[in-house]
Amino acid sequence: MIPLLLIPILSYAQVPELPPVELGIGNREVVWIVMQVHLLFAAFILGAPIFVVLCEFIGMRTKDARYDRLAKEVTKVTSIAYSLTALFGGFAILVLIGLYPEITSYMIRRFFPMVAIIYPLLFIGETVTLYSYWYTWDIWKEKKGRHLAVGILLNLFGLATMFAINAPTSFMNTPPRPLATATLWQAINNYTWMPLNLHRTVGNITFGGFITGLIAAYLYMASKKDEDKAFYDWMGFVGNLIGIAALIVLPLMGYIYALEFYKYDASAGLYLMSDRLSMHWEINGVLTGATFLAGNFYIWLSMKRVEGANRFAPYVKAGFIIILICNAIWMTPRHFWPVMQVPEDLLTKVELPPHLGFLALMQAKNTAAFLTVLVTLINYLLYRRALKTGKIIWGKIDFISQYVLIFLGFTSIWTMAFMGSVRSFARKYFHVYLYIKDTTPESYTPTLAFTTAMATLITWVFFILVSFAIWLALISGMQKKGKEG
Amino acid sequence: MVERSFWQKTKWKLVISVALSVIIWIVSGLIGFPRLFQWMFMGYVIGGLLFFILLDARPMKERSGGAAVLSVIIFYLIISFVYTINGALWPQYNPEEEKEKIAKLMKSVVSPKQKIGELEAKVEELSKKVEELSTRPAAPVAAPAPSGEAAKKAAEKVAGIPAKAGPSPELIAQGKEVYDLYECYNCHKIGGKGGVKRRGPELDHAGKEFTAEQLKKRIWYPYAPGTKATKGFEKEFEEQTMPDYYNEQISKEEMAALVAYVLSLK
Repeated sequence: MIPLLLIPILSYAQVPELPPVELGIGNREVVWIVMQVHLLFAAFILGAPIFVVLCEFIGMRTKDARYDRLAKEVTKVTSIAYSLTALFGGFAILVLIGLYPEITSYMIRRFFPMVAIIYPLLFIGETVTLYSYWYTWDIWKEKKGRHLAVGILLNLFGLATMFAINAPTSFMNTPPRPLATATLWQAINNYTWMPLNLHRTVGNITFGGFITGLIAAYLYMASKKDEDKAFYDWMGFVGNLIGIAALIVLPLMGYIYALEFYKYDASAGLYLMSDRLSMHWEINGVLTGATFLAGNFYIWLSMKRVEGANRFAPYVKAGFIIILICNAIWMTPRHFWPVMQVPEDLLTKVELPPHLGFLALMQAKNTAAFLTVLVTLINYLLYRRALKTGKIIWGKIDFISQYVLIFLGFTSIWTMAFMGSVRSFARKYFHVYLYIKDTTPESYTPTLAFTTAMATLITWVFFILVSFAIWLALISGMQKKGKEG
Repeated sequence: MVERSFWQKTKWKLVISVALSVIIWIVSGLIGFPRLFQWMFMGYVIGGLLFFILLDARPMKERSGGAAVLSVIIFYLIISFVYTINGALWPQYNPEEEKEKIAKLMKSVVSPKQKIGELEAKVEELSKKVEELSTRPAAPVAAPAPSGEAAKKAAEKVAGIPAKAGPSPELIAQGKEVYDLYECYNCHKIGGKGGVKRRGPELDHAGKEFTAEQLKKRIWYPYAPGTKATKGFEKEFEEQTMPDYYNEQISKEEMAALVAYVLSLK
């Protein structure tokens, strides 16, 4: 009788068992690269349409044809990037099933109605609207309202798709407790789902802005005619402006996201901010500081070519000093030590003494972030003021500005690749935090040096592919036009 | 007004940076910043100097074609190098330490494959027993020695919450290991060590303050009805800083050892 009762359990073993796939170069690393490249493309194809529709709308209202051209060129690159996103998404699923079959199967079953029905439907909706948006550009030239409606629909599908896939991602970090009785909605609407949605939405706009700046820099360099140079100079400015505008809100979104980790489990928050991942935030500080400095440097270069704007130079320089001091505060850690507990003999050498400990608290960091944002806003206002009295000649900007745009594009990609891994490491040695342990040999947190090397590798893979997409979509066409002309 | 040359501007920036470095070094030393932090500030002054030099640099010559492509690739290589090296310059922890910890924590994890193997063995054992019982003539059976779950329960009873005789030094040592394994020191202090911020009560005299049952309850179910906050930690209690999931993480055996260790602190 008893053996008969066990038959249903044993029937799972009917499929011949195969040894686990070990690639030799590290299963985790392979998944890491493929997933992150997919995510970077996804961020671009979700971020760019938000900003493209905004540009098209401004173009329609102001009758400035440049906005429409900008929107169209970015959409052209987006449509190629879209195919690459799907390609890497499919690749990622195959890699996950092959290398992590048990957890992948669990996640699919846990979110089955969503990953098998809702997500594919949203994806189809996004595909249809994206290609409709692209192919109706010229057809509906005179019916801009209709075209814009398709663009808005595209963004709604894009955001919904991202929200849907953010559910399993955030679930792995902060699953509902107790998990066994949690409903599908509770699994979706977990502690960090909405903060991740907000963080990624704003992050994607920033990303889209800086990638547009990157496209503009490439095309500026490839332009032969003054007219093209003027356009791509302007396009770089708009890309940087939108990137920086969204970046201003990003630290707040990140703060809310981190706060939810603390609320979910204080020890997870500590692990993220004060323990093995604490030094990762130093790199984040370097990247944030570099991005704000570069973004403001670009505004400075833009101002330099405006007649009579020199009078604002001392104020802008003072602003740079404030940004540098704020970044120093942002980056001052409680201690230069990679884990929370410092050996006693090193305490006085690597840790802030108690009376200076306030510099490591969030109040100090938030004040520094606020001042950095404020200086950026003031710089932009000064630029606007300079424009009121002076004349700007597009296409005559210091050539170094194009490297600043490239730097911003590269840094934003690198930051996303790097911080994405930090989010993933916050699960410690769990696939699903606290519930499903990762029993593979690579469940430990890799060193910071290794993570930065991986971020660089991923950025290169993405950069090569995105540069190819830009070349394919725009530069080759420009060269052809040049020859014909 | 005559525009100052690039060198003239740079010269002044250098002078100001040197003066600033000296002032920052002295002042930061006087107010108690450790040397490492002082070096970080110096790094900032150098970074700031380079940035300000860049601000007033002469406009860059335009590049196009192959020269532009090459310059962009070189630029990428430089940024990649700087970012990658930057990661290696910060303090690194040794993953081997974490691997050891994970290996200990994974002891209780049974893979589905192992589970199936265990079930198959059990099926085989039970089948044999059924066969034996059906062929053997009925005879008075002696009480079987405890096995499996029963034996585990008996062992737990023995190793459980220490009774009047007091816990063995081995159990206390095991408890210290459990304390380290679950990183309780991240929030609690013992002998002045641990607890970066004041997140949880100091445990130096916990043995005097709690009974074994109270401790067990506070670790496994910190927010069970009737539990009150430790004096001075009302806010932390309200915010539920103490994780409430240890009933799913810490096994009975581990808990027995952990309680024995904490009770030994008097």
